[in-house]
Amino acid sequence: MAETRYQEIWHVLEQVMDPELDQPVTELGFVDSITVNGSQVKVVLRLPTYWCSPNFAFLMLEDANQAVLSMNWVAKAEISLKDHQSSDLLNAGLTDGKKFRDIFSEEADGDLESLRLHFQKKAFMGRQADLITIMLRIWAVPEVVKLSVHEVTIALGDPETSLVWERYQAMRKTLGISANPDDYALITLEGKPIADRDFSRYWHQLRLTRMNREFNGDLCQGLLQIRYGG
Amino acid sequence: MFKTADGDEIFIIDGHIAFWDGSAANQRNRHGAEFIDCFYDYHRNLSPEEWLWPHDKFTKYDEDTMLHDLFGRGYVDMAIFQPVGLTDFYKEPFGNIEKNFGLVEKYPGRLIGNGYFDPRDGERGLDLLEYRAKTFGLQGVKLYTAEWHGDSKGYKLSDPWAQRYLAKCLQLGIRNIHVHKGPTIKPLNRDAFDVADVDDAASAFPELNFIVEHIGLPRLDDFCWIAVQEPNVYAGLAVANAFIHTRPRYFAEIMGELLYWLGEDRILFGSDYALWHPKWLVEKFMSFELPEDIQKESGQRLTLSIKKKILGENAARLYGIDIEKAKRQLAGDSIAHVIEQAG
Repeated sequence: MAETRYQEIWHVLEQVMDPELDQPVTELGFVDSITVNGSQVKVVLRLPTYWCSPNFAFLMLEDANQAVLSMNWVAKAEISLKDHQSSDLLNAGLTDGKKFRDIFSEEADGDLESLRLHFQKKAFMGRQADLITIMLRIWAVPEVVKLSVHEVTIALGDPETSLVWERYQAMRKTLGISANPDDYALITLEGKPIADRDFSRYWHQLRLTRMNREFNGDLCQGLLQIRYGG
Repeated sequence: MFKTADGDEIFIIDGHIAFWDGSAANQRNRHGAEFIDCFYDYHRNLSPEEWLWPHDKFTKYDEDTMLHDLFGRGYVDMAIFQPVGLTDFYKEPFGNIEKNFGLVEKYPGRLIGNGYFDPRDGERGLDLLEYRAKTFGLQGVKLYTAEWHGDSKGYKLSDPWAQRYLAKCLQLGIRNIHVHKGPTIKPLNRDAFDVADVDDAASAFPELNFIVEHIGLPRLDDFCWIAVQEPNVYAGLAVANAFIHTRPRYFAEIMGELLYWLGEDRILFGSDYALWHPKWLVEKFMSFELPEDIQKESGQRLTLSIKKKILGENAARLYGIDIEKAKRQLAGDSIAHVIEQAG
């Protein structure tokens, strides 16, 4: 039974994202250990450096805590971060159910939600870049900005492309951007279609955001591997 | 000096070097150990295997090692110290302005010693900045906005005191403001790597040059946006150019975008020695070409004349260096003998 429960915990942690890298903590190697003891679960997270931003770390700790507690059979969840400059503060804060601003009252003003939103917007742009790369294999530039949600859903039916499409649509919905079948498939963060003449610059901007994401991801992976082997 | 197969001479200014002391003896606390170890992880992560240093050597290296690495084997003609004090982590400053200045005087024309300041030092720090500017002839400063200071975990260039210091720089003739963007900036709930404060400072001080070191990684996208709007914002390639070995494609993409957004006149080479050795960085950069698809996507090419600008001419412009004159001056100096010995 422990094995199944372990897998269940792993599975819910797959939904916990690094907000900056827009990748699950499980894929990134940030899950150091999972211990299941009856209805008690301990999860230890780890990060690529001692200096990684405590705010992102806290978002992941909170999300992991919620994810684990979402399982009916879990009576007690203990989530912690190891080897970090703020490990003790963050771990104690999480145990006491504190908000980030209470943990760092001197240095933080307000909560982390605006930070989360900021990076959800970047994730949206990165995912849209992934989508456009695939779309440009099928359609040419003037056409691509005119397609509807419905048309793209049908055209991107195979498993690989539909995954990219669904990830994009999911973040679009998270951000509250309309996604009806007759809406434009490609839409800006402000919910506006992209004009033909603006596409080139817009596409450059999206690629830059995606490149940034990939570059950070790669750097983090490299540093994590150096730090913990693997 | 790097010579191409066709006999072209490339004058190289390494825009970012250090002569640090991160040794255990100099560490004040655990953070000092973690700081140099994090540097070491970067070193191990991105260096070619044959260029890896043992941990001990990496924490503290001597003058001869540095001179040989830069000017002997590393093709570097001139180099700029970008010190960071980190005195909350280290007993003696991690990067030491006075120690660097000793070398600047010992090897005339080879080294430029930048200073630093910390706006949280208030009035006293303004006096110190003036003293250093006059004593060490500062042309530039390296700012590490994430540096700890008592209870504070960092500051922003848009803070009122930072603005006063920048005004002081202008008054003292310190034109080049190298800004490091790193982890842990107050307030913690915002994005720790946010580069927006550079935008504010660059607008407020159009006569100053703001060289964003490590091209604002990990906020390259935000950095490029700022640089498009502010003509006095430059890209310092330190760290980014180390990716040329392990991730040449990322490097190509970054160069394509920097050339697209900033253009060829606002990009500066820096080895970040001793994080990485300039020899392999320069060799790989000189033989590097953007893959065809990236050329097509970005509409950019990395030509020989652009490489010359990035490796030396752009920094020369910021620091008022006449390259032809410098070549003649340096040809017979004591370091030129080191270069000859290195073959």
